[in-house]
Amino acid sequence: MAKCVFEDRIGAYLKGELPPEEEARFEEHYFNCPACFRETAERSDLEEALRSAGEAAFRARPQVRLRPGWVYAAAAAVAAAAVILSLPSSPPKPSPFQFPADEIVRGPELAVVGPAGTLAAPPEGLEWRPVAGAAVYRLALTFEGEAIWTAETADQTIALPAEVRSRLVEGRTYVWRVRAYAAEGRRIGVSEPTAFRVGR
Amino acid sequence: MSPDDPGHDLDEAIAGFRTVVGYKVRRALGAWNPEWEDVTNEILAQAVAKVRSGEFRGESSIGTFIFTITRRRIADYIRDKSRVLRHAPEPPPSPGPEALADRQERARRLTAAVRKLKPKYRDILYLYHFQGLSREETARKLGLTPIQVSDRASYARKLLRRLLGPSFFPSGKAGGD
Ligand SMILES: [Zn+2]
Repeated sequence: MAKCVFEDRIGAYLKGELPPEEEARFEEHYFNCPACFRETAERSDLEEALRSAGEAAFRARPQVRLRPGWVYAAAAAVAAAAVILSLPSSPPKPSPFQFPADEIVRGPELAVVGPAGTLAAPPEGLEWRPVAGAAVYRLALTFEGEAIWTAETADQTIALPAEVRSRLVEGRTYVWRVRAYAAEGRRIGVSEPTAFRVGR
Repeated sequence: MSPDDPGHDLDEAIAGFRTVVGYKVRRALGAWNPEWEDVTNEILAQAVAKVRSGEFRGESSIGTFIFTITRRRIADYIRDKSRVLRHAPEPPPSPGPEALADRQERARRLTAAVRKLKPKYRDILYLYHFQGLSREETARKLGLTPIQVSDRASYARKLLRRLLGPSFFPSGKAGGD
């Protein structure tokens, strides 16, 4: 099929890079050129789907899958024990990233899969059960109430960047939590704080 | 009206513009604005009425004629809306539960497909289509020429099209979903 001279405008049009008159000229063109319209519409669909898939679509899945036996109840029990062990003796300093204990949760609880408990090596990633209606999940990994890493994804798993893994210190207890948000920004689920410790 | 009526062919031609008008309207009004369908119908009805009253005399193409009507109607809509909004601001429309479930399913399928691609195709999709960098910025980051960016992105999209099938791309199809 012969290439339309307008075809190389499609990318810039969808990114909103064309000046207004050129944008109108390109729109007038695709009202007259079915090939350019089809290509424009298809790329819009693709870019929209990529945005809702989020960063996670581009990361390889965590190489080491979390142990299949991790279920919510077990993980939560271990987590609860670990959280008590890790409570600092001095009152925690307030932090914008801290999770208030009395946080009101609307909708279903978010069940974590793992990691939780004592691990032989820094975890490859975090995993949880999907929540119906969730458009995005926000993660926070904390040490003594301070966030050391936050991220968001549309997926139910997220890889821990190598840089973050390398910062995890053996013997320390880290707590992570995930929250689910609907597309309009309303929070629809939050997990229990889930603790893990690397080594020893 | 009878099929012999000379207006009949033009009516059919105008109906064929529903997809492209709908696409432009959704782009202007917001993808989740439930009014897009009414606005699209009005534009098509206006086009038919103008053709019947002899306002379309073939000086421009029918595509340009409908594009002009579409542009004006969208401008009116936005003007009226901003007048209303000044008094009673409303949150932007958001997808309903079905649309959300559909979107999640699409995200899941797309993620699975992207993960099957070679890193060089994943990288170009990430920078050019996901992050929305310009062709030139993408070229700089990857050490390619802008032409190579276009070619590689085009090939990556072709691979995705093959993995996902035509049903994954509903916007360009006549008759909507
Ligand atoms: Zn064209």
